[in-house]
Amino acid sequence: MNTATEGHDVRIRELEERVQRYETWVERITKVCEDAVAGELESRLVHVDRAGDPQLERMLDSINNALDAVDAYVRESRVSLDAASQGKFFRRFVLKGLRGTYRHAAETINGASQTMAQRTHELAEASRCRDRVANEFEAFLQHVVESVAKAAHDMRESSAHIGSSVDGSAKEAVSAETAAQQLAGEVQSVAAATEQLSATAGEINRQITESSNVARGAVEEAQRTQSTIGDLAKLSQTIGGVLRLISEVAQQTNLLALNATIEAARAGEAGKGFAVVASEVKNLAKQTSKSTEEITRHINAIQTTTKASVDAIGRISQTIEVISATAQHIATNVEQQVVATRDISASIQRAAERTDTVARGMGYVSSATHATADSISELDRAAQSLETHSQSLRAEAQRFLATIRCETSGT
Amino acid sequence: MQGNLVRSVRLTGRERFLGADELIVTKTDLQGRITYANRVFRRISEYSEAELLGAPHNIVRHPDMPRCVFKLLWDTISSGREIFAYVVNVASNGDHYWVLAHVTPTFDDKGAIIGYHSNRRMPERSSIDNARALYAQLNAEEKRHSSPARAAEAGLAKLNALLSQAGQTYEQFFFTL
Ligand SMILES: Cc1cc2nc3c(=O)[nH]c(=O)nc-3n(C[C@H](O)[C@H](O)[C@H](O)COP(=O)(O)O)c2cc1C
Repeated sequence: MNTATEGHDVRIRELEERVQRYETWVERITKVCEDAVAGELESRLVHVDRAGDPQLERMLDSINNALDAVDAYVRESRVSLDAASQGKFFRRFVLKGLRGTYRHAAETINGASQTMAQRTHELAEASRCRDRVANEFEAFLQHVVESVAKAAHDMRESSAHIGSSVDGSAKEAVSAETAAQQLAGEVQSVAAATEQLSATAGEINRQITESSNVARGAVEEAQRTQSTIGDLAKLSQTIGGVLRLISEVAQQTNLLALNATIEAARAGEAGKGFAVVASEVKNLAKQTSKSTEEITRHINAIQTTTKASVDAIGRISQTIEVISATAQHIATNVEQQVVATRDISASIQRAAERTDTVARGMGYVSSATHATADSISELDRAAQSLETHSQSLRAEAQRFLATIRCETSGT
Repeated sequence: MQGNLVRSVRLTGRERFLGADELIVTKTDLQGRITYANRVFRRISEYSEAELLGAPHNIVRHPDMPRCVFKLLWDTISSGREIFAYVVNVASNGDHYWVLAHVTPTFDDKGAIIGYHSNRRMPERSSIDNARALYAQLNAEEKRHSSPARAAEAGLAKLNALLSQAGQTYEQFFFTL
């Protein structure tokens, strides 16, 4: 064998080995690429330094680098998007080490998660706001419902209370009405009585004036009677004088008769007739004297009586004057009484009118009270339904709140 | 989480930087052994693919990282959740570099965890300063405990105390860091 042939053979062997290596690597590359195409990014070309060929080695590294870039992109995108979906927005796609399209795509993803972060923030803000609103609303509602419930309760209590007092009032009003009517009647009769009183007072006044006049007449009459009786007293004194004269005449007549008798006795028979006359004269004188005495006694009695009469009439006259003054006084008083009575009568008349008004008012009150009682039972029903409504409002609002808070209803 | 001894690397104190558009990608099995490491990771950590594949991920662990951060990391991802963390790593030559790590579980069709995946990106400078200050506090707490497990617990307790003080979850806290 010549050396040229030998050298040739070595060269051929070398080439054959190289082709074999290439074939081996081509097979591996194909496998790695197929894995990559199938989404299996784990496979790499290892022991590239055994390729024994710088050019081949560079090619293998380049394939690995390409796979690493894809792998890095895939891992980053998966992890960063996963983090974003968990709200961990600080975990961004790490751009470093990525170039070209990978980098642009990564930047797009970061932009998207930035927006997502913003939206999530806004959403969280909105949800916080919604929760706050819900809480405020709930608190407000709680307050409202409690207030309404309390108001309804109070209302019912008050209406019950008012109801009972209205019942009382109704009774009161009715009795007040009756009383007012009664009063009106009474006032009316008082007015009539007062009117009558007034009239009576007038009559009394008139009568008193009359009796006063009569008294005055009586006093005058008494005075006249007194003077008449005085005349009578004087007359009886005059009569007394005459009687004394007659008495003296009778005594002288008696003496004369006595003398005549004595003379007649001396004359005897002749004197007998004379003696009879003389004794007759003597009897007459005696009789005259006796009568005179009797008359004197009578006149004395008359004088005593007359004096007593004068005294009595004086006293009567005095009494009448007193009576007259009193009557005058009474008349004055009665006059005042009449004026007062007229005033009273007028007031009573007005009172009567007012009492009438009161009675009418009481009538209104009474019917108003009935109406109020009706209204109150209406009110009570309203309060009851208010209570029911506030309860259903609460339940409704609770459901509403649960809904906006995205609570599950548990059913 | 693997018990393999960390290769002791002499720290240089020099910092390396990840490009703004660059992505470090690694995958591990359920135990945290590397099953895939992309070119950027191989370059910045200065390890070959052969060295990395099958190695525990603590291969790039920096001693300044508090234990509690990794405890939290594992607690989180093993329960199926993602986690972000500022992590300082060390390259095979002793240089260090800060990353904003995002670690996620990988699920099969049935939702079972079949491995973990991590993307690291370039962090902001200010975030690195904040993280460094926080980690100093956590380390101080952890240094008071000799047992690593206890130290991690104590550091986590401290972290939780700081979080509740700030009124934040770790996630919220992390994104403000
Ligand atoms: C997908 C994934 C990526 C990880 N990346 C890192 C990393 O970049 N740096 C690191 O120190 N630990 C990382 N870890 C955590 C490690 O598994 C480990 O828990 C940590 O380095 C602490 O190590 P130790 O328990 O030995 O102290 C990662 C874990 C997983 C599951």
